Amino acid sequence: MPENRWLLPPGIDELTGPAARRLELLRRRLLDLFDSWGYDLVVPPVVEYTDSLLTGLGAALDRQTFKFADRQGGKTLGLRADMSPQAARMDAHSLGFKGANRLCYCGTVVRVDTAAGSRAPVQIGAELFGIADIEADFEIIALLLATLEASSRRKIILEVAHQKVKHWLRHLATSAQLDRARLQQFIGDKRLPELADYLRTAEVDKATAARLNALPRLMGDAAILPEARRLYAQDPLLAEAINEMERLARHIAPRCPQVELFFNLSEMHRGAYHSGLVFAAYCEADGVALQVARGGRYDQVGSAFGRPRPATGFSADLRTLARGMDGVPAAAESVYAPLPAPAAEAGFWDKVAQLRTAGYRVKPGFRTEAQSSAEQGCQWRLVQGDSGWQLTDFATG
Amino acid sequence: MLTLALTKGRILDETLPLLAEAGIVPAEDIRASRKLIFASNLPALRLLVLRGVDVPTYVRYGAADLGVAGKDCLLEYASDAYYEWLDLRLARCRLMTAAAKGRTPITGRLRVATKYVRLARQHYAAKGQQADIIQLYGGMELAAVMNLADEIVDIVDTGNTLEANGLEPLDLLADISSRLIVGRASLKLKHAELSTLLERIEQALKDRADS
Repeated sequence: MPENRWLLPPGIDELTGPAARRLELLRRRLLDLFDSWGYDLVVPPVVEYTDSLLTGLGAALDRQTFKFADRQGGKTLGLRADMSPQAARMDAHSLGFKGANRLCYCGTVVRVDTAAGSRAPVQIGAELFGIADIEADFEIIALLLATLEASSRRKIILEVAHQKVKHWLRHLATSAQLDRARLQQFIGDKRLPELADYLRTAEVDKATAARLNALPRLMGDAAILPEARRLYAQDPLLAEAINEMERLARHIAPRCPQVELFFNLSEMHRGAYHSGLVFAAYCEADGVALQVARGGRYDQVGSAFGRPRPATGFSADLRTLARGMDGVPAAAESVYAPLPAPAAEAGFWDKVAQLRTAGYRVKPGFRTEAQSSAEQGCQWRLVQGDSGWQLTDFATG
Repeated sequence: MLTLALTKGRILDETLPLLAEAGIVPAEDIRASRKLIFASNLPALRLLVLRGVDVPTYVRYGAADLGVAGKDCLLEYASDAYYEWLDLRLARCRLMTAAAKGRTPITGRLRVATKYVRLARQHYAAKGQQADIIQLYGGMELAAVMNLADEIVDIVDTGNTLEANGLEPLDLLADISSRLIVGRASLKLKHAELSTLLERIEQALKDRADS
């Protein structure tokens, strides 16, 4: 079907004009921001052996990864679906730092599933390795918020959750002989009626059922945390999680007044490898509520590469971030420079080079073109005047 | 502004009275209009009227903040992009398999007609039964009558349609009722407004249960 050769696969997009320009400007702006915070840029490979690409990361990433056989050696290769674990591998194995290691990255990842939107998001992110203290989480969250501000986001909601709640549920399910997967699903999806029915059918004691039924409703600003603390005073794992959330609120709220914190004790939709505070940022774009970034602590991923390292980080899809940006900074002024006859070229190319150095966009018009497309969008025209090559107003000159 | 997506048809007929009990009333008669978007008596709430199967999609992509959808659609098109907040206990029915009365037992691969492809696959796999799933969009009983399929998987309400076409219900896949779903991102970005609305609907449900 030659007439359909232009078709792109589902979930694969291309950008042109202002959209491409907006994306690239944002990429540069954010990488400069990360650099100013001391984060070193890394460029992980697009393709790796699945042995290393998917180690220790659970089934979700495995399902999202395109795989194929390497004709050289027959091993299975995978196209990266997430760069964050690649950064973890580089930290654990390639770099070998002992203390804090700050890395950032930006590149296209490819995913099997179209349900989440683009199958080739441009992932940008930052990871902080080597520090187990909550101060590292604060730094990463502050950098995420600076990232969103640099992307012209006005209203930012930061959802904060904790993986220790999931661990507490696991322990409780084992001790009370409950179906852990169902319990986690009902609580994570906030299926309130099904959760209540299940706990009733499983004959869970009244006090435990009350604690479990309350969990999905515990969400909102920091005012919910004292209530959570009261409800789960007897559960050390939950108390630790709530304590860390309170510390985060005390740290972030005064420093980032533009952010609304949203604590959600029943967030269960994180990878099995996450281990502590996890978070997601939500913004509105074109009237639609969107999750624009997510991240959290994952202290065990490095151990798959022989060196367990505490780690926390975040990533975002640059396309989603760019979608809600206010306008695009204007491009430099453009000059239309019709090529002169060979005999009249003297000084022409020197002038063109001079203008380009001075920040103009100079687009030569070819002699063979009757009407040059280079004229489009030009404010100036390069002409030979009495005192050599000079600019004249495009419209009037 | 909040957007509530409603499922047209029987679910709509049963949802509107519940909404009215929660103090939510469309600005005009939805059933007498061909419009798809309606203002409500609450200035910050508008209503969409969609096919049931489209409601989860609107909520998933944030085009609606919350929606009323049948559990059958939520099971078939499972997604983690929304929360299944309330069982509205409306439009109750059952998702079942059915076959012609007194048919001879099928050996080997079964032909099954349904619009619930994913659920049918799961069900027959769990039974250890090989099955070819034939996707249809309506009038499932006819597939069994015309020998297009050996069994069907469909919603059963009173069972009268099955009976009228010489079929009988067999296995129960799930009890179905309408659910109120809330977009995961919306719940965070519009938490205060949504909480108020959800409380109103929840209270109306409680009042119904108590009366």
